Order: sequence, then structure tokens, then C-alpha cells
Amino acid sequence: MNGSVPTSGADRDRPVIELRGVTKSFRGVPVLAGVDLEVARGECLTLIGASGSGKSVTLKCILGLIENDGGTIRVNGNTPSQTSIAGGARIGMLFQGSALFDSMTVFQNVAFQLLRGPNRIPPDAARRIAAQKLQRVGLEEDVLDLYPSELSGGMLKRAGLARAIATDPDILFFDEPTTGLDPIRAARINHLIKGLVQEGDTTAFAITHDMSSVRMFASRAALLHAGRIAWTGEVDELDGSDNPALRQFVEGLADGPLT
Amino acid sequence: MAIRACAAVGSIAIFALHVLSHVLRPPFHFREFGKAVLNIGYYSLPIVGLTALFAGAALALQVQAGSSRLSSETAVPVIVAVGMVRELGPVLCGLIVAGRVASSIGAEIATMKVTDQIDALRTLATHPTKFLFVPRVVAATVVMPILAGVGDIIGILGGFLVSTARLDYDPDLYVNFTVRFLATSDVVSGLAKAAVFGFIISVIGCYFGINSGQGAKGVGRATTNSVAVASLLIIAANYLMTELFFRP
Repeated sequence: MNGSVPTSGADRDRPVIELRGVTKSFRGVPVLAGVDLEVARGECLTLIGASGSGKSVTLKCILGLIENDGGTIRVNGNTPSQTSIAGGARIGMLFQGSALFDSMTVFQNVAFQLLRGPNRIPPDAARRIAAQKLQRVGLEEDVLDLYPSELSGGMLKRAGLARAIATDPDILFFDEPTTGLDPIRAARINHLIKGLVQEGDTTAFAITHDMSSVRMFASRAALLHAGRIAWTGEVDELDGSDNPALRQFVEGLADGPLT
Repeated sequence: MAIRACAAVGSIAIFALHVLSHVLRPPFHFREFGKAVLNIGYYSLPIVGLTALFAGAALALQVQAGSSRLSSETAVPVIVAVGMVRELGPVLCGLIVAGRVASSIGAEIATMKVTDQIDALRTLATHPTKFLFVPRVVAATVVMPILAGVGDIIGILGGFLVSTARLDYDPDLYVNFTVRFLATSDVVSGLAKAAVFGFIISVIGCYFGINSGQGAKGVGRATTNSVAVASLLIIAANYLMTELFFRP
């Protein structure tokens, strides 16, 4: 992850994440049918949509975890691939189920990148940084030597978040960050994410169907419906829109274009 | 059915080549290699040793029973030694390690896949092939000859114990016959077989793990398939290598 962050004026105006006509099918069934999307530097965009609408597929295509069939994806101007995740950009990712390595301690998870690769640092220094990051997400230092199986659901999310921010990434990705959490823990995670995305120049891209998350930390939202972006706008505009799919989603109506 | 089997063999071969292509390319994850050596080698020693001990003892009894009909009881130390080193040692060791290690590799990697841990590795700029597969495959290939060698020695010891305690063999004579008739090529061929079996076991475990389906069912199937296919390939590879080394 040695991708350099563009610093010239023109580069700064260019979207950090850019999707043009992205398509993806599985066994002949189209999931993405031409997704166009842009995420500007420093903004937090949430992609919302019904379950099975293709949000996770979009995220995986952006990261390069799966290959899109058509269209172009640029992250920091580069094309992501299996060997160049997110086009080589410095990223942090919080997975829906945290995806902590269960054979490693919390310290080994959080400091995973700090202990490996060309920019590795000594274990003592990595431990100090891991403790700082855990503190940042509201976890005490004494969880460092615990295994993921010894943590609660909320603690797992926080530890996953600490791992995502361990190397101070330029772009943060969130996959359903509050799924499986009770409303109180979900609110805490949302607050944490809000704090993180407002720090510095971090760009964030989240997928969720939790409207409280969208209202809490997103600056802009996009609705994915029928494989395309059906609506995009500021979070403030979510309630006043006359887009029927968006209204159905925001108001949680059983009847409407979303199935 | 035949086409599907051929496709599966081709797919496994491509996967094995893919793993091999990463073996000599950095970065190297020595810590993961060390953990794999411990898991595959050290923790398999007790079960491999016990199995070899009883197999060697049983072989001695069988050879004695058979050779007594031909009035050639001195065949026991020779056949036990050669049988263990060429055949029983590596094959038994391979089958036991396939049951213990191929299943654990398959289940571990399949679980990592269904819980997004493989994707997490990628987002942490770590290549799953280099981090997960290469250390396990190299460790299994290196450690299996050592395990088989230890199994050979313990198996021969089992034959020695039964022959001297139950069949009234002279201990010095037994050792003399064992050493005199055991050729270097017997030992080398057995160890070479074990190395190939180690490669097969680890590649099959990794292959079925990374290609597992979703959920608990996918993990279960990956585990079962890893053991079944690794065992089958060990038996088949053993025959092919025996043909290669000892063609009449």
C-alpha cells in the first residue's frame, strides 16, 4: 500500500473514488447494470439500498476484491485489482462481521500492517500504536492480549475499527458497520465513525441500510436500485425527495418500487 | 462425471502451480512458516509414532507367520525394515497427516473465507497465497520426510521389540540383518514419497479451503473433501512413485 496521495490542485479536485458504467453479473444475473458514482476528497458517501441490491458487490469492485465485468473504476486515479487493492491507495476497511483473524490476538490484529511489509516497525512501537488506536475507539489496553472469541459483538466492531485506522489511511471503507448491534452500541459505533471521518482529510465510503448511520456520519448518500444509482444527494435532502424508491427506503414502506 | 473429474484435477494442478510460483518470491512470512511446521510436524509426531510402532509390530508378526511356511524366518528383520521404509512408513504417515492436517487446513481456510478474513488480508495489503498457502505447503513438504523418517525408525523398533520379545529373535542378529539389507535407495525413495505426500496434503487442504461454499455446510464440505481427496491422491501417487523407483 504505497500509493501516493495526489497533492496538486487538479488532483485534489479529482474524485478519490470514481465509478463509470460499472457492470457485474453472477451466473448471467446482472447485479450492477451501469453504476456511476463519485466520492470527492474528504467527503463521506454512504451507499444505501435494499438487501441484495448490490451494495456489497459495488464495494468489493471498488476494492478490487472482485472484478467488474464492464465500466471503469478509479481509486486515487488507479484501477483496483486483486493484486492492487483499491488501486494501491492507503485504505482501512471495517467489515460487517469485523473479520478479525481469530488465530491472532487483538494486538496482532490491530498491528497487522504495522508488523509487516516494507514499512514495518518494532513490536514495542506497534504495541504502543495499537493501544492508542484501541483507546481512540473506546477500548482499554487490556484487550490487547485477548483473542477475538473473547470479545463481545460491540468490542469486535471497535477492534475492527482500530485495525482499519491503525496506519492512518487516506480512505476508510465501512461495510454495514452497525449490523448485528443493539441500538445503543450502533449509536456508539456511528459516533466513532463520525469522529474518524471528520478527522483530517479522510475520505470515507460506507454501505448500509441503517438510516441512523447515514444521518449520523454521512455527508452525501446514494441509493442503489435495479443495478444503478437511482438517487444521489446531500443527506439533508433525503427526506424531501420525491424519488419513489428513496421515499420507500427512507420511510421503510412495504409497498413501492423496491422489492 | 469424467469431465468434471478432469476439470477438478486441472483446477487443482493450476492452483498448485500458482502456489509454487510464489514460493521463491518475497515477501516471506517466516512466522507463519514456523507455526505451520509446529502444527504439521511437531503435533503430528505422537500419532505418527504410535501408528508406526504398532504397524511395525504387526508387520513382524505377519512376516513371521508367512515366512515360517517357507522356513525362512530371517526374512522378518529385512521385510520389516524395507517394508516400513519404502512403503508403510511414508504411506501411513501420509494418510494420518492427511486426516489430521488436510482437514485442519481446509477447515481453517474455509472458515477464514466465509468470515471475510481472506478479504481482510487483501485489504491489509497481504497476499493470501503468500501468507496462508505458501507457508503451509513449504512446511508440509519439508516436514513430512522428517515425520516419515521418525515413523520408519519407530516402526522398525516395533518390529524389533515384537521379534525379540515374542518370536525369540536374537537382538544383535536382528539389528545386523536390518542394517545390512537396508539400502540407501530404500530410505531416499521413502523420504521422497513423504515429501510429495506433504505437498499433496497441504495443496489439497488449501485448495478446498479457498474454494469452499458459504456457511457451515461449505466449511464442512471443504473439510471432508480435503481428507478424502488428499488420501486418494496419496494412494495414487504412492503407486506411481513405486513404479518409478522400483520398476521391475
